[in-house]
Amino acid sequence: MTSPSFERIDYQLRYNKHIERKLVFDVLARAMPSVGFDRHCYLGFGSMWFSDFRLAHRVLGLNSMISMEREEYSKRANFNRPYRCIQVEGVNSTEYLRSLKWDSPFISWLDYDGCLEQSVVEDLGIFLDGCLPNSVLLLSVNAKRSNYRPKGMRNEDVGKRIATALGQVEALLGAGVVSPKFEPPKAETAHGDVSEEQFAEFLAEALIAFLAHRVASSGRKFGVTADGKDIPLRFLPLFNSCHKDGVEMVTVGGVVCSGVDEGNPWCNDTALSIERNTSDKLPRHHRLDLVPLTLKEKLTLDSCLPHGEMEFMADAKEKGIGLDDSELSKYWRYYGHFPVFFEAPI
Amino acid sequence: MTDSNVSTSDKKVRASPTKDFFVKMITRDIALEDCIFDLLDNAIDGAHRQAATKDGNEPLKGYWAEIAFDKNQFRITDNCGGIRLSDAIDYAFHFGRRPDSPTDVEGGIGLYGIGMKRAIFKIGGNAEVVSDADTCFKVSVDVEEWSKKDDWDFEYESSESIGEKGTRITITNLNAGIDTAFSDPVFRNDLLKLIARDYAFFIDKGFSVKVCGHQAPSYKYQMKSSGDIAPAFEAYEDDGVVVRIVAGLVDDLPDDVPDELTPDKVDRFGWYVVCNDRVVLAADKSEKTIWGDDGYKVWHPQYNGFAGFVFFDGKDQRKLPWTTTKRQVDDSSPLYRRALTKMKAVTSDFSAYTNRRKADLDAAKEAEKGSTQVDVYRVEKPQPLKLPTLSKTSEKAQFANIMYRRPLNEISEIRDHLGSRAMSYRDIGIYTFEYFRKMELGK
Repeated sequence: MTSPSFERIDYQLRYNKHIERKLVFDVLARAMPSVGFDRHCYLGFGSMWFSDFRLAHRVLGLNSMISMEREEYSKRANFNRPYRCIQVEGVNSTEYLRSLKWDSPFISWLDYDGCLEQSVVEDLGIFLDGCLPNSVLLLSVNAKRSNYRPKGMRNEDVGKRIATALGQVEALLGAGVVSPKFEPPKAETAHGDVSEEQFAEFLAEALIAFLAHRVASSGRKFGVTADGKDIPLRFLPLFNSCHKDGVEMVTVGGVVCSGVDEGNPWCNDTALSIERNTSDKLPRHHRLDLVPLTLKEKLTLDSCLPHGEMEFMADAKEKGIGLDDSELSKYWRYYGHFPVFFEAPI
Repeated sequence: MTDSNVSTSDKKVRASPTKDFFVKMITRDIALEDCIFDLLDNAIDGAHRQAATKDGNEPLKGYWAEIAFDKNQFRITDNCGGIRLSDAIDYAFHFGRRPDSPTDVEGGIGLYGIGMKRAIFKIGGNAEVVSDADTCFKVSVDVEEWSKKDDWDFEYESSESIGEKGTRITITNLNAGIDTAFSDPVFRNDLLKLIARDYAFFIDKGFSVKVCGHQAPSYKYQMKSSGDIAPAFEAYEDDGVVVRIVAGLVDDLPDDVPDELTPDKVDRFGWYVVCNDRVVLAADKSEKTIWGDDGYKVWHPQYNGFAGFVFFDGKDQRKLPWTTTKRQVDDSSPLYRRALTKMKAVTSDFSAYTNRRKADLDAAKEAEKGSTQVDVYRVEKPQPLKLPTLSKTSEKAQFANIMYRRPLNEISEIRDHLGSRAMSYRDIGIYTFEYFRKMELGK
């Protein structure tokens, strides 16, 4: 078994993960006044760093938090918990989710170390089948296509759809999750696959489709209208991004909420600052793969802001910044969340 | 005993229909997808009517239907000629086909005069049907208000053109459960696949269908063909209906019988029933076709790789063995029963082969190799099912099962190493066995 990622990476020092985390908690903070998180409990994989737990407590004011950790690491995790309101459960996530009573809504970020696999799908299903309305679920999984392409297949499966990364994701999440726009063109010999560049976005959409379908097909009710009509529960997607700090990861998420838009605080995209595609109404896919900047570069770029995108690029270049346009454009979009790390004596 | 409050003077028992029956009861007998297909069938019949004089391989080219929906509304738009106002007034909105209704398109797929109304009732509380044929008119339906009235008619008014000679049906105020399905991306993706599968023969003739902006792909039904392998084909006429049966191999046959299968791994195998090019049953493995019917064998995963198609084509669609939902066959139809006998015969030829090949699997697999694909609807020459002739081996191959338990984390390690995240435990066992034979024994 591979070593846990916290033994290889300091989670807090990953630029793009940091930006992603800030973007997520910004949306939740905007929803907080209208939704109210007084009864919510935070559930995640705090690891040894508890970065998301810190934000959940500081930004959202959550005082009930549970971190699931492998039993052999739970003692160390317990030592490292930043707040006394965090409870470390040294147990496998599937087992823990199965034992939950679901007596309060959750905000849960299931930030997995590795790839999508059957146990992850099982976790998602248990959460969505049990959670109370207004529960938020996010998940992150590895999104590198080569990690999904089987290296060994039975002879009879070679060249078939199941031998592709697309086929593997489909086999895990169900046949209907593949959006037609990602279907590869028909090939005479081996079945085609999603391109490397598109894979993260494909995986994100497949996961969102799975989450939405799981809730839609459960038949669960949010409530009843004044005239006696059932209001269904639905999974409303809010997050759709991928980030790359060495390894490509995808993060999707949303809220299990009322199927009615009117009066539903989660549907106010403007207030929550969520951009959606016009065609399929999914949150726009954010690709967070910004390169690390030096402190000097960051200060110079910041001195050109706020400004229109084109003007910002022109100013920055005039001041001698040696980054290409695509990096400048990404910085312009996400500068409010961009961290700079440097060594400090403690 | 008599009830003094009951009038018996006219000597009649009441049997008038109620609107509630149409709005709330018959809508339960049909799936949402099939209601949408009823609307699509009307569009295709329109296209056939328009294209009646066209020849060639793609007579429906240029005709299209576009379906779009979200949690608030459903819409289907087509350019297939629309409904003439006189037809709308006298026939199209009538519940059930009137005996004096004009002859519809020959070989069509619209049938009972119920599809459009049933679809509206199933989907939502309000509908607007706009048709642009000889003149452009609009029929607005408020189901709740209509249900309260005594008369059964709908009112029409003139309308702006929809820009094409065709029909546009918009349904709003969606019913409970329908709004949920329409906001489920899996419903949309599955619908697209169903259309590709069940309307493949119309799409092959040039008809275009889009769902929420996505084009329904062309789905080719093909069979394996080689020197040793050829599909069976038989055609005959029965009571004014042309029946064609095509059956054979659509994929490699399995080496052994898997113990766990998901639907996507077997969704091409079994019997298909096709009426006037519309797929009514697809990949059926139940008694709706032959399996388990009248003591015939039930479907077995050993038959994976086999598919049979029975086509019923008739100018008078009422003679075809389908039900009002067009998703079931009328298994009491003598025409259908007669076809079943022939379907069983060809299936028996195939199943006998699957038993023979077990005895010499290597020779069978070698003989099955190197085939090409032939379109099902291009098979036109009567022929029996052709499968490899295997020499009778004196010594039957011996088989044994290996079964053992290993810790889950060790199995997961192998699965991770193979990178095949969806691989079953059984397949991992077979793979590691094959790996050992290759690496240690060089086989």
